[in-house]
Amino acid sequence: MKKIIYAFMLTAFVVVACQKENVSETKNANANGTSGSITRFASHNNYLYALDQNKIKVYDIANGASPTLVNTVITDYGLETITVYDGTIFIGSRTALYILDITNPASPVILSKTEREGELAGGCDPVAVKNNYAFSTVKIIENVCGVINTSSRLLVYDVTDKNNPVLVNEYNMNIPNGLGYKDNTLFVCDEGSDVIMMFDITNPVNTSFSSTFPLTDPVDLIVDGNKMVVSTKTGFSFYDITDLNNIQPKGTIEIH
Amino acid sequence: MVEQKKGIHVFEVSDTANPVNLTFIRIPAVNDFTINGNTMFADNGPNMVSIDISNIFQVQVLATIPNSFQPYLFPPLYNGFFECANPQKGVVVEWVDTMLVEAQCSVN
Repeated sequence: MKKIIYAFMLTAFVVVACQKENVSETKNANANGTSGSITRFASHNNYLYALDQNKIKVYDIANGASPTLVNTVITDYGLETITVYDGTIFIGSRTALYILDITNPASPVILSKTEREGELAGGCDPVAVKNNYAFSTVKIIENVCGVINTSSRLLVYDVTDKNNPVLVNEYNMNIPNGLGYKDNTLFVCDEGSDVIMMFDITNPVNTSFSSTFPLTDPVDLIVDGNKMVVSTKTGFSFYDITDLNNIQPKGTIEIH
Repeated sequence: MVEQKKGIHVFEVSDTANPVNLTFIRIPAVNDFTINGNTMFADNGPNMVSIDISNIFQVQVLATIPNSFQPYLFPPLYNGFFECANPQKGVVVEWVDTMLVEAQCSVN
């Protein structure tokens, strides 16, 4: 019997699928974790990549009882989110999108650092990658009497050439947060508008707004096959996304 | 809502219409975590911790590596004044909006 466990905290979460082998609650199986997009840790091939402000720390975690720091890659300050896709690391920082090659997993090599133009304090750039395109949301915040600048947006990069990503599309958003996709639908949390935005990414260069469904203060999301879980500022909501034209809300967990 | 930096909630969701709250793994000053096999890796203030989660109800700390992470001594996603954090007093776990007199630190 397949048992699915989601491990959460309010700002980062992971989906784990385990094989339940007997009726007790002891789990024996190997589990692969799928993270939300807003996270500073990523593991791949028994290596852990952890972001520490201006450093990418690489740990050999083949033996969980003795994780070993094997490398540190220095970058500009402001590293915020990390995701691993197709053996490549994508990092969102306050000013740029970094792409790193991990053909040698203990020695990441920076392939590119693509800076955004003329920003103030860019916040929290989660990245989702599908084939040759990277999708990232950017929150731009000015503390002018608490006004949040409206240049927050969704960015679409062509990353066919990892040494030279090209910005191909942008879409203004209110307060965007985490994102993820199933097939040709990109889901993006918009905390400012209290919705999950859905975009058609069949042709990413022409990423177009598709529809929304309401959810108060969404923060991050994980797509796991036909299920989606969204974290909010107060808890988690589950959805059946088997039919993208008829998304079914399932249960909700509130955590105060 | 202020970010919680207290620990990891664990839920069983094979039936997403009825999630079951299983347990809570307390990790002070935690910000992020990931899972590799049966091991969870998380930050714990300046430390990295690895935790055996093969029995989710009786997790075991496997290793604690000090001096892994630099402290964030300023509030995230904020421009303005704040009270300077003193790392000698411990680890910053929360920032609270309040009135300050003669605040010495700022981000802009």
